Amino acid sequence: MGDFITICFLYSRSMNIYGDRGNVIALKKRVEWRGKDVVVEEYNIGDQYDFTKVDLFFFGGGQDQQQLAVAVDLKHVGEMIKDQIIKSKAAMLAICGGLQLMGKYYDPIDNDRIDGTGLFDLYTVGGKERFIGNVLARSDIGGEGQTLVGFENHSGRTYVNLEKNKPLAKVEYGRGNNGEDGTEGVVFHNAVGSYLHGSLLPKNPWLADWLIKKAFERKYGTYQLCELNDEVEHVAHQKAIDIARKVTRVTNISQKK
Amino acid sequence: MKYLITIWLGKLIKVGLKLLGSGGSALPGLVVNKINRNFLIQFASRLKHGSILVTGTNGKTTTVGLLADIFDRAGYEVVVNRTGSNLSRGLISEFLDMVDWQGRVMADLAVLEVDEADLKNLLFELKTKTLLVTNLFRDQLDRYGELDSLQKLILTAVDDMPAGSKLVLNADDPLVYNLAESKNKGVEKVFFGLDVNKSEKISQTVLDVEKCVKCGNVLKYSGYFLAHLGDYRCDKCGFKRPILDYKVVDYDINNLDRIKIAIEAKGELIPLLVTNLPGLYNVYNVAGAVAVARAWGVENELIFESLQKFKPVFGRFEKLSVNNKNEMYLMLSKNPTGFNQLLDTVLTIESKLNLIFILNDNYADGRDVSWIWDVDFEKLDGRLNWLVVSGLRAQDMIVRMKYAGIDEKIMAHESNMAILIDDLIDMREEGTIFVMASYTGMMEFRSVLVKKGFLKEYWKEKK
Repeated sequence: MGDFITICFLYSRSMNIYGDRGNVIALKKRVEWRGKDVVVEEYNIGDQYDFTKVDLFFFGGGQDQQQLAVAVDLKHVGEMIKDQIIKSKAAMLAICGGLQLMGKYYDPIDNDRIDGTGLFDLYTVGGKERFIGNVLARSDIGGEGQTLVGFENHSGRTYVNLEKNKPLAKVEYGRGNNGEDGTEGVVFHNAVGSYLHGSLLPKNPWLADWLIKKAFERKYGTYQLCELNDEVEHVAHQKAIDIARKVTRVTNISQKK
Repeated sequence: MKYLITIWLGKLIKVGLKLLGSGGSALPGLVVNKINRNFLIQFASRLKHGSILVTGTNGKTTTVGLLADIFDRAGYEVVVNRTGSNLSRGLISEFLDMVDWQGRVMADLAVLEVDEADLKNLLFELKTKTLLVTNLFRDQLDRYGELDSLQKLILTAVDDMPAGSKLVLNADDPLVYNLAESKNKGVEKVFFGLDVNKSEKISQTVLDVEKCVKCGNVLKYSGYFLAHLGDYRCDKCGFKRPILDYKVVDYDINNLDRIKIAIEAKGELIPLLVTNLPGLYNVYNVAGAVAVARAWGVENELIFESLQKFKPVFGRFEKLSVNNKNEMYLMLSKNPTGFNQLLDTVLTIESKLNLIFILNDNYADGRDVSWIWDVDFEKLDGRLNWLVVSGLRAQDMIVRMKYAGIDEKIMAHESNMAILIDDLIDMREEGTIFVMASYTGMMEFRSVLVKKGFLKEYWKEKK
C-alpha cells in the first residue's frame, strides 16, 4: 500500500439522513483518483474503536431521537475524538446534527438540553420556523472568496463564539447558522462544521480537497495533491449558484407583497 | 345551496380548462376550497359506503389503482384519485367529476391516496371506513420532516378514527406496525406482510429504521425483505412483528411484466395472483390491496380477476412503444428506497440497460436533491448500455454518476425533452428503454409523449 489515509464515518447507522454519505463517497473517490489509498471505517454506538489512527472524520445529520442516543455515546468517546483533532491535527467534516453535537450543547424547544462535545465553541437553540432552501455562501478557508453551495434544512439556531472560532463562510443567499449574523458553519483547527446538505462535498470539490490535504498532512507532513478534472462538478456548482440566487429572489419579492 | 353553487363553479372551471386543452390542474380544487371549506365533508357524507384511504411513502398510487379495480368489479361505484394528485385540491377535482349538476353523487365508495401530512384532516372529512398504511421511508424531508415526527402525526390521526373502522397495516415495517399502538380501541387492526424463506439481500446501504420504535434499543432482524421491512424483534422490550392476518407465503418476481403471489389469509390459501406489475415492492402493494378487499368481504374470485387485468397506473412501470422496435417503461422515482427498488427490478434483465434519468427540484419533487446520494447507483457500474440525464438538476445527477463510477463515455445530457424523445424515435438500435423520473419530470416527459401521439392524456384514460 502506498500513501493512504483513514476516514472514520462517525455513527454511520444513526446519522445518515439527507444523503450526507455522499460526502464520504466524494472523499474516497477523490483520494483514489489521485492514485492514493483510503480506508473508510465506520464507528457506531458502543463500538470498540481506536480513534488515534483516524486522519479524517465525517459526522452527518440524524433524526432527533437518534441524535439523543449519539449524544449519550459521545460522553464516552467525545474526548478521544477531540484529542485526535486538537492534539493530533485530524480533519473533520460535521454536517447539521453533527455540527450541533460537536458544539457545546443543543437546546431544543420542547425537549431537554443535549450536551455536545464542545470541540467547536458554539451552542444551538431550537427555533420555531425551519430554515429550508438552497444556500450560496462565500468562504475564505481555501483561499480567496471561494463559493460554497448546498441545501439547508434545520430548525436549530447556532451561535458561534467568533472570538474563538471562525465561521466557515458568509451567507449570500439563504439563512446559515442562525438567520441573523450572516455566518454559515464553523472552522476550528482542521475541523469544519456546516449546515449544508446537497451532498456538500461533491458539489464543492475545493472543500473536499482542503480536507483531504489536511488529512494527508497530518500523516505525512507537507503534502501536495495533484489537480483533478472537475468539469462536471463545476457545472453543477454553477447551476446551484444560479438556483440559490433565483429562488431567493423570488421569495423576497413575494415577501414584499 | 352553497354546496350546489360550489359544484357548478367547480365544474365550469373544469369545462373551461378542458376547452383550453389543459388537464389535471389544481385550479378547480383551489377555487372550490376557497369558497366552500366544507365541500369534501358534504361530498363524502353522500357516499353510501364511505371511503378507503391509502397512505404511506411508496405504493399509494398502485395500491389505490388495485383497490379501485377490485371494488369496481365487486359492484361498487368507485370514485378514485388515480393520478397521484393526493393533496385535498386534487381530491376535490376528482370529486367534481362524480357529482351531477344537481349535486347528486354518482358513487358510493371513495378509494383515495392521501398524503401522509394531510391525513389527519382528511381522515375526518372523508367518512373513512378503512385506512391502509403501506410503509414509511425517508422522502422529501424538506416537505414532510423527519420520519419520527411523521409517524407520530399519523398516530394522532389514527387516534381519531371512528369506531368500527379498519386499520390495515404493513406489519413488516416497524414504524407502520407501531400505529397499532393507538389508544383507539374501537378500530379493527389487520396486519399483512411477508412470510417467505427467500429473505432478500439488503438492497440498500442506508436503512431508515434500525432502532426499536418503543425503547430505542437496536432492532434485530431475522430477515430483511425490502430496506427496513422485515421480520424484526427487540430483545429489550419485546416489541416484535405481530402474527400476520394476511401473509405472502410465496412469490415470483423474475419477470418485468408480472409477479406471482400466494397469500395465506387466516389459514386459507388464496391462489396465485398474476398482475401486470413487476418487483418485490408490488408484492407488498398487492398484499395490502388483498387484505383490504378480503376484510371488506370481497370474493377471492373477483380479486383474482381484477388483479389479472390490472393496468399499471401513471408512471408506475407504464409500458409503451416508441417506435416499432423499442419498448419503453415509465417509472416514477422520487426517493431512495423507491429508486433502489426500481434499479433492482430492472437489473434482473440480462442485457445491458438503456436508461433515462430525469431529476427536477420543483416543490412536488422536493426542493432538496441530496437524496440521490442515498441511492446505490454504484450497482449500475458495468451494467449500462447508455444513460441520458435530463431535468432541472441534471447536473447534480451527472456528478452522482461520476462518483458512482459510471463511464462518462456512455452518458449524455439532454435538457430538451422534445429533442430527447425525437432521438429515441430515430434510434436504430433495438432494446428496452427505462425512464426514471421525479414527479414533475415525469409529467413533462409524458406531456411530450402525448404531443407526439405515443400516449393519451392520463385524465382521458379514466373510464
